[in-house]
Amino acid sequence: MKEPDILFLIGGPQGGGIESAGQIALKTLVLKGYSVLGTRDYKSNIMGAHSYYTIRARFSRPGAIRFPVDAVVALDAESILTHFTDVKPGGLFVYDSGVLKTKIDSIQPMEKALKDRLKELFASKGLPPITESAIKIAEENGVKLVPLPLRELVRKLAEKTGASLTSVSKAVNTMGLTAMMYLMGVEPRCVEKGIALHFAAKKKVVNINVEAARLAVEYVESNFGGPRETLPDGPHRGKKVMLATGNDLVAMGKLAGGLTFQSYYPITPASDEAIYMERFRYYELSNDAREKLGVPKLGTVIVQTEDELSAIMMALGAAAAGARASTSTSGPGFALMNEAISLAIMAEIPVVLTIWMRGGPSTGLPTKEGQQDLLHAMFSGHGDNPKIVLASGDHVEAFYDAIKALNWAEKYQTPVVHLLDKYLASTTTSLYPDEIDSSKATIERGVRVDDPSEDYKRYAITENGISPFAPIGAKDMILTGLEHTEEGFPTEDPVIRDEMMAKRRRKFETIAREIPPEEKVVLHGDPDAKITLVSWGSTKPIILEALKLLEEKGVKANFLQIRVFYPFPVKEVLDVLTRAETVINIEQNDLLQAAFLIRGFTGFTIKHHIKKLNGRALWDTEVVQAVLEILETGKEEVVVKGGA
Amino acid sequence: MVMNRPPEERAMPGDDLNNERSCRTCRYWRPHVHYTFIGYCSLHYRLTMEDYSCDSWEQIKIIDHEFYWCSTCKTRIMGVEAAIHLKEGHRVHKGAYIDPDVREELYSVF
Amino acid sequence: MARSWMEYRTPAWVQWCPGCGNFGILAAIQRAISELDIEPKKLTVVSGIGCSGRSCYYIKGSNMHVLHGRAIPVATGIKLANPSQTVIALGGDGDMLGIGVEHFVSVGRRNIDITVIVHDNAVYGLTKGQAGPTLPAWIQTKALPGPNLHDNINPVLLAFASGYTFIARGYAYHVEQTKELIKQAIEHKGTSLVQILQPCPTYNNIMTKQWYEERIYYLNEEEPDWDPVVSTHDEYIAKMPRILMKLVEWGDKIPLGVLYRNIAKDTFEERLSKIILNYYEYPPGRRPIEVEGKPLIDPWTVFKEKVVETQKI
Repeated sequence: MKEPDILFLIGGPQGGGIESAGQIALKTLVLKGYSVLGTRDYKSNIMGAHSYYTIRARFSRPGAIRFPVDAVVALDAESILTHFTDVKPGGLFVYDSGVLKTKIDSIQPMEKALKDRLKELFASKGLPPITESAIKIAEENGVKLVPLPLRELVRKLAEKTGASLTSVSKAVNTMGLTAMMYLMGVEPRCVEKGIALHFAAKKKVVNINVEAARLAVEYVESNFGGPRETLPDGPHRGKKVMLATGNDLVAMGKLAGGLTFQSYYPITPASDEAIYMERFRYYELSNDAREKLGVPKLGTVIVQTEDELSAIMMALGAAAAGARASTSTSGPGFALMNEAISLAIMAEIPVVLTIWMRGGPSTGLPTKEGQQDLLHAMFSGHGDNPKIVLASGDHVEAFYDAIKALNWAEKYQTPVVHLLDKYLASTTTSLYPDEIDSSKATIERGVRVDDPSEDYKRYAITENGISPFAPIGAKDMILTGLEHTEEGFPTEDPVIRDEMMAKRRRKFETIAREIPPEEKVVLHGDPDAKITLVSWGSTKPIILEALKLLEEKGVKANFLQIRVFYPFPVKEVLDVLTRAETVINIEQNDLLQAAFLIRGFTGFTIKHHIKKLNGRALWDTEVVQAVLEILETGKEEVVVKGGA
Repeated sequence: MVMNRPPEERAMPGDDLNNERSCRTCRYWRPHVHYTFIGYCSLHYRLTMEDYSCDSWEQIKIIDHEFYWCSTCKTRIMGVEAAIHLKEGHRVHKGAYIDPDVREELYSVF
Repeated sequence: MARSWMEYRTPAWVQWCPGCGNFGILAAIQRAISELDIEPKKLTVVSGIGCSGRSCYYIKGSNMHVLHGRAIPVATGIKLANPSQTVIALGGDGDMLGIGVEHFVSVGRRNIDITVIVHDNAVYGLTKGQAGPTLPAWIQTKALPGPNLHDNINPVLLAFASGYTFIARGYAYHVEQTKELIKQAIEHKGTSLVQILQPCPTYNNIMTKQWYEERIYYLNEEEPDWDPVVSTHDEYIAKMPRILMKLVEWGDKIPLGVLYRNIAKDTFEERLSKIILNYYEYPPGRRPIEVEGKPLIDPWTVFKEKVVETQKI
């Protein structure tokens, strides 16, 4: 039997129950023993605009989502009109049969550009500009239609559950989701378990949603029959599984990594990280730690500040006073922090800046994917501005990198920019205990002196460029953003200036030397392959999927993932690139920022590029197609455009 | 001295539904913000389907300077604008119903 | 025996113009901390950019010289990481009430136990005398190409509106009195403001030593029944009219002294310690973060709400 690999999406208005439906679907499939990947796509709107949850499940962890999908649940007109071409022939399209007469123009939240494209398409087929036309086209495309009379189903539910029905959105989406999952071969009792797990303590909500699920199954069974076959159980039954987003994992990584202070100003897609941490800011220590330290719980101070200037400055103050400190933001907030980064470099203060990239420039696409802040990170801060820049490729990396970033910041007394993005932030996956294992992590703080001697110098010139760190309060001292003597007094002396510049440079030479090569770059796949794909950040699992698909098509390629951009791994990158016959760079930004850095640091010019700019998640299939196109035509640049 | 003028009231101009004594034309009823076939009765404090009716039914009146909810446009409108919406065949109500736990379904968006 | 104020001096050359009010403020701070007998390493002076920003090099402490306008958030971070530290954030009126005014306001909401000192000379000295946020409109100091078109901000009223629980005003050349105000500010639990009026002999030829000395008066001298301390809500309501009158008094007469003190409000640190119960014992800057190089927590236990036990199906 071929390993099941299922992919579906649930669409609806923002606030219309999509999040719960997505969570229930993920939990149901996890309970069934599957590995899952679920990503939410939503607009910069609080309520009412279209949003959707795309979910893929199989035995091994899915690395990418893509269209077309096997099934769509579309319980409002806009969802039908947005996704009717996103289903494979033979796939399922579950929709509300009550909205078919809805006119395209009457749907206020829908983008005009999409309305215009649809009206043109419908007119070309002689169809009227109403929702029903989308259903007709889906049918023509060989999609199996599953109309649900939502109004009647809700009526029945209201009758059955009486006055206790209050959350309509959840119930509606539970119906749609269950109808689809049932037809895909997921046993209704599994969905019911998923519902019970998701709403956990809220017994009333569980009961209503289980009732809704049963009504949906009953209706589907009597009108469309049961599923062709039952979906087999996955191999992970019986395991402990963690379902978490990238935001969650960075929060967990930071707390496990000994973070004691975080300041932040609300911004998408970063604040969910700090908010999650704040829920657990006074936490139980593990048994071993509790015994050895003699304290059951410890806390991390998390402060919501008045702006990002304050967020970074507060973190710098806390760090200077010995806290393990970080702040978290996305592009716009990071821009405000730039001056402070320069101070942290000059004053040699350890701090982690967790940057969750989103589509720019400016306010751009606040809730959409983008990898446009790599150069911003590299060149943030005025003056010569070296700092460690680290990019995580997936959920597991995000967890350990959060710890590593904190270690590096303290060990080298420098800002560390940890780059992540919206896709990782809001994508949930299933993780197993051996993958997220804090005992595999080490905590290193570098050379710290808590009780410095009388002749201690905060900026002592040393061979490796690192001056022993004493926190504020340990001794009288001065930290400063002015060029300074070893004691921290300001100086403009030409000789000391050169010595201090050299000291700070040596520090980065030390960093470059001490970070192991395998933590800077990873070459995935056959090292001897003639084609090398180069990328960074959250594209990692997507490109790994693409490698497999390419191999099925007889194309052998490997993938160079750049993890650390500064200090730039010149030798490691050059070694791989010069061995390949064809190098293709893949990024979600227009300036081809990684390629620019590669050229700048190594002199190697990458000739072929695949980029995605539309703010939607990258698909493995579009990477494959673009690679094939480049191999066939020698094209320099292919822009991929998937997504709704 | 300024005289208190009585608010200008007018009945909803007739689309075919307006003569119907059902929740959807009732002044006490607020349709669900997303799934408009169900809504909340602010008189009896419960959810009802839009075609339900009871003895307490009272037709919605439009008063110029009050706020209303156009469930077709999914937006708040003033009474003075209501006529335009109604002429287009939109549904105008006194308000909208939002699930009490909607916060669980929302994201950080800016 | 307390340390002599001389012990709080540093080897750095105090590089202000002759006659600068900063000399007086520096002497007042050094005397205040000496009389409070604060160990130099337990004192932190955080300063912004400007003439006054240099103070952190002249006062022996565990100090930090930061960015223009950002002394307050840094001071806040230091205090939260190490609540046993005595922390002073200082800067000029341009620093605190111009570029950094959002922090000047927000620190009041938190009532963090730090002391904010504003060296108020109404001009930007280091950049050659541009108008500061406390320079009244239509005044043309000698470096200005035309009269100032901005109105002046009222720092003490702004601090009051922002939630500061100690507000005082001093005068730079009155070292003894200013020292007393700074001592009280440091001893006060909560965010304290000491606005120090300071002639700038180089750039402010209008608000001179003479200009100030014709106007200033000490509240406790001229109004012996002056009592700005509030400890209950009723007292707040009762004393507020008179306190507000003094907060807005500016012109021919400028009151000096403690203008307002609220001892009823809890500090941010106290609020934190109600959530992180052992916060004072294990503050962020002084708590263990590992045992033998290993993390102190297991994500599978702490974040168990994310864990699905699949055998439960």
